[in-house]
Amino acid sequence: MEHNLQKNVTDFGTLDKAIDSLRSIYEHRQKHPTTDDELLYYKAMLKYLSDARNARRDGKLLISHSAFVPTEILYAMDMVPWHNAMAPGAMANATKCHQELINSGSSYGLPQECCSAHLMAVGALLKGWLPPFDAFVSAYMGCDMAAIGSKIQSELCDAPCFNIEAPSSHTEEDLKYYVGQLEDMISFLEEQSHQKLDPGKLREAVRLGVQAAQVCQDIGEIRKAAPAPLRNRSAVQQYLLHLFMAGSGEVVDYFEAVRRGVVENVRNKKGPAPEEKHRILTLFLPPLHYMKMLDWLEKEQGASSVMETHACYWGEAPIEFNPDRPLESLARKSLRQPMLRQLHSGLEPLLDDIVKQARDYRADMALYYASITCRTSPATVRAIKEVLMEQVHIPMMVIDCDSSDPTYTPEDKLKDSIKEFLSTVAD
Amino acid sequence: MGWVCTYTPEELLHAAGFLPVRVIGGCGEIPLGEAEGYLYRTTCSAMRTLFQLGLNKGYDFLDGLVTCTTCDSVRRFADNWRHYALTPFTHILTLPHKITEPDHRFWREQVVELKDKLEQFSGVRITPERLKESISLFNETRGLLKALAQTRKWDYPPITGSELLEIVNAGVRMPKEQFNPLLRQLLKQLPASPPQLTGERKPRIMLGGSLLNNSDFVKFIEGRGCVVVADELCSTSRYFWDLVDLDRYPDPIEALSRRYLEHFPCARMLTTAERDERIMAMVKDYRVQGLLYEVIRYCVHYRYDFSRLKRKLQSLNIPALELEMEYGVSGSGQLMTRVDAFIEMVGGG
Repeated sequence: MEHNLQKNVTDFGTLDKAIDSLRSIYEHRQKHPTTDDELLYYKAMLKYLSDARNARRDGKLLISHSAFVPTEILYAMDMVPWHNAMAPGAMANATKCHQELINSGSSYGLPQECCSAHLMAVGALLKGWLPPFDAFVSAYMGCDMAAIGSKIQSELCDAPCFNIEAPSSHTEEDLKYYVGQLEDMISFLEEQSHQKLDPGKLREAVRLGVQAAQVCQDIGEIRKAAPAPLRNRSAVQQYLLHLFMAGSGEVVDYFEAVRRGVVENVRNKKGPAPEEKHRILTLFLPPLHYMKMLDWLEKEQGASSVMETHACYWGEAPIEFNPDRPLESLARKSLRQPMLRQLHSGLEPLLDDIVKQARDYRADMALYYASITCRTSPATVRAIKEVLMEQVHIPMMVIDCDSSDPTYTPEDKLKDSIKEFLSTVAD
Repeated sequence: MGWVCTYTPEELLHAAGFLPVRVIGGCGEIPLGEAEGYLYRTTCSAMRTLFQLGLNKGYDFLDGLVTCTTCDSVRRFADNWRHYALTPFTHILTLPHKITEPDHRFWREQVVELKDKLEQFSGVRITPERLKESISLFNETRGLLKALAQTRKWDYPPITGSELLEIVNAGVRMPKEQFNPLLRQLLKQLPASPPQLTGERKPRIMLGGSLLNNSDFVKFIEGRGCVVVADELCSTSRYFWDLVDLDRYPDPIEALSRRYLEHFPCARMLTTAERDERIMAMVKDYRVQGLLYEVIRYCVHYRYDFSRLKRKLQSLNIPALELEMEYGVSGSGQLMTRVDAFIEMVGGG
């Protein structure tokens, strides 16, 4: 099938519906607050989708990017970011149009076993539901499909695409190479906008990005307390917001609110779970469409997620900001971001991280959400299960699911299998 | 010393005193049950097959394994290989997707790091002289293989596609010092010029795709009434098409790293324009009438590449057929039906 998308023919209906849905949630949360950070999360997400929706009207370039592209650079250049795998998923979660997008993506010739997030992204584009993109930036890091998905989307939009590479080890030479990649990314974006990057704006965006990461590291330290002081769903929110909006003030505000919340909970020696019965180390991403399942774990099963290796773990070493070398600071920070660190740096560092976290956070079990269409992550489960049992003596349950597609495993089935595991471990 | 991906600088392994052996599996499908416990169903069956062979102690004769971060499947295969210590030594090179000067510099560092690691492990110092000798030897192998493959331009190719694959399969396993004389002898035995034959000409088919090592599969295709005259497989032409250019780059490390990053690109590289140019040149030079394209199940790079190539070939009126299959298959009823219909379409029915 030949696909040629014309610019300026967007059907904004679904995106508008997603924005309306987020606005309703936000307003509902204002009236019925849970935590400060959750309110800020919905506010930021609302802004994120609205900014993308209105980029053209506002005279800004809309840049579609893959996972692990540092959005700080886009914010510094006054461009609007659009995460081209997860943002369509967020749109689908708000409007429940997953199946429609998956079917549409399949019509391009992508197989069903393709990563469903990318399938939905191509599907949304083919349906004409996404705003017109001015350019694409993709990263070949830990996920082939991220780069291929960007290539397909840029071809469909007839928009230029720039690719950044990243080393899988982190020597000083590797870092220089990655800084060079970021410089090339900036040159590419300057060509698109016909405007030079303002070094002061870059410094500020990187400062905000690093600050958010530092606060996140702080939160990680505080979370070692028992009972677990953070809501289960917060980890996913932290992960997404950083992925979408690193370099913006909204992310810093959000993470600071999260920190205030956990500090207060630790001070009061309480957590979101009414009675903490299980301390879970969460591995990879829980299904993003079943956030309520995480609430169920917490409220009804007394199971707290004490740390989420792939979503929240930045490592132990401090993340620093050098105002004289903002791009280098950004490179150092970017290469350590959650998920990239776990997918791109080999198996041994990942195993070391997981064992350390299981000990530090006193986890009594691990749940691995094996997203069936991911090529990189599930191929590590056996080694992880073995080291957790051998070195920390805790069991791990592997949950076959799909992070983005709710049709793969019904929520009830997921709950049943997790409940069975919890009761087996308790026995 | 085993190696998997054609971006692995084989000459370095040789210069360190090892016999380079391509870890490509035997011929045919094998049960993958145990490997699936370590890898995952979406890891391609090529990597699950190689891992299973490792678990079966089929590669116990190796001292080590070297490969690249070619794709997600190869990466995780190698990670698990290292973790479970299937060989005493494992090294993974980070392979860029682009070919700019910074990428060259980065890749050169990767090659130097491999050299250092091999020296430490083997205790053999890889001097420039040693490396140049290995480069000469391997250049000869690649040159001879290319000369052999080029005879397929003739109206009646003196070798079949399956025979060429068998020869390359031998060449990536046995010492080049023994392989080269045999190959020279074979080339001498072939007619010096295209034979003037008459009779029905079979449709001229090109094979595309990634890793394909089962010559029975190619024999099966040729048995359906066509002749495989060209390929862009990493198990045949992409392995030998380009030589290391010591005249242009007198430093052997530089010459080696340039050759490996710039050689006939595979679908995972971002240099699609060059890949297309080379494939289109082959289509023209070898008078290809149709492309049969192997996609190992769950391989996203080649699946995407096929849809792109198919559109390009359509503009030249060259039909293309994707064959999605598991690694090692030699042919089946379903494949037969599809291949037959395709051969018929390109004119051989």
